[in-house]
Amino acid sequence: MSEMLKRIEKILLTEKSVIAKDGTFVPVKDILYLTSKRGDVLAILAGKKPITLPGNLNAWEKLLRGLFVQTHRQYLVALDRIEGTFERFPEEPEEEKRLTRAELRAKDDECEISLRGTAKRIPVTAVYGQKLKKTLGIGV
Amino acid sequence: MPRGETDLLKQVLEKLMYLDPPIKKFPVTPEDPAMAVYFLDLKDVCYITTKSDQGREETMFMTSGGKAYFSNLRLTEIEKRLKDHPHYMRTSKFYVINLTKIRGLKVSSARDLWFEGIKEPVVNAVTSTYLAEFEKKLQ
Repeated sequence: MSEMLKRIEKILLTEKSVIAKDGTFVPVKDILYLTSKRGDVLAILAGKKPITLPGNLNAWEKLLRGLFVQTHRQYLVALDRIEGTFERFPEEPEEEKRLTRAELRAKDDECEISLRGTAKRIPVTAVYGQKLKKTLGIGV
Repeated sequence: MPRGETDLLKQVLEKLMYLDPPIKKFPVTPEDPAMAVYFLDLKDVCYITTKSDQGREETMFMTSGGKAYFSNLRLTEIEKRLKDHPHYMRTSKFYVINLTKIRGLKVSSARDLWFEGIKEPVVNAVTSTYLAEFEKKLQ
């Protein structure tokens, strides 16, 4: 029963709007990603100005779980918008020899992702990389 | 909870799965050489085939726009990953198809299928081994 409720809530969430600090309603499906900047949470939409949301990124991560995924302590991205991954540090192969296995694995989890609707690449840090890979079905 | 209600809830859950599939994107080889992985929207894919095309031997994902994407995974591996996806099913040795993209069907010993946005039919897309299951899913 609880699984069903979770699924229904997730489906309904895509049709909901969130309320910005200035009172405007922002449809969840229009949000590309959320980012925290100087204590504010900004919702980034395609071709529009960033909109400031109340609360912090952790609270939004909980609220939008299943539709959005955290890739960095400052970024929460819409899963549906993820287009591709890019190497984050493509020009540093020499350093790898000195890294431990754990460090290598962590480095492997770091990348950048592109989203449909923006040219900006979003960083993915090792802390969130493994979870993101699992969600996207890479290296399973 | 009575047994009847549990079964009913299971059915509802299955229907919900149809609206909200457990997997929505599939990693494929990107066109952009700078990109490491491209995530193809499974809702745009008509069928997946091992038949070599455009001079390539990899597994091919054909989209409704007529654009092809490729993966190094074998069709069996892809089928395994999509086993819980309600829109996809294996229909022949060479094809895994998206049931929601079918726009036409010709009945012969096998089934030729027409897909959304693709002019040419896929000949023998459904073979006898998979026919019963295919027809069951279409109902």
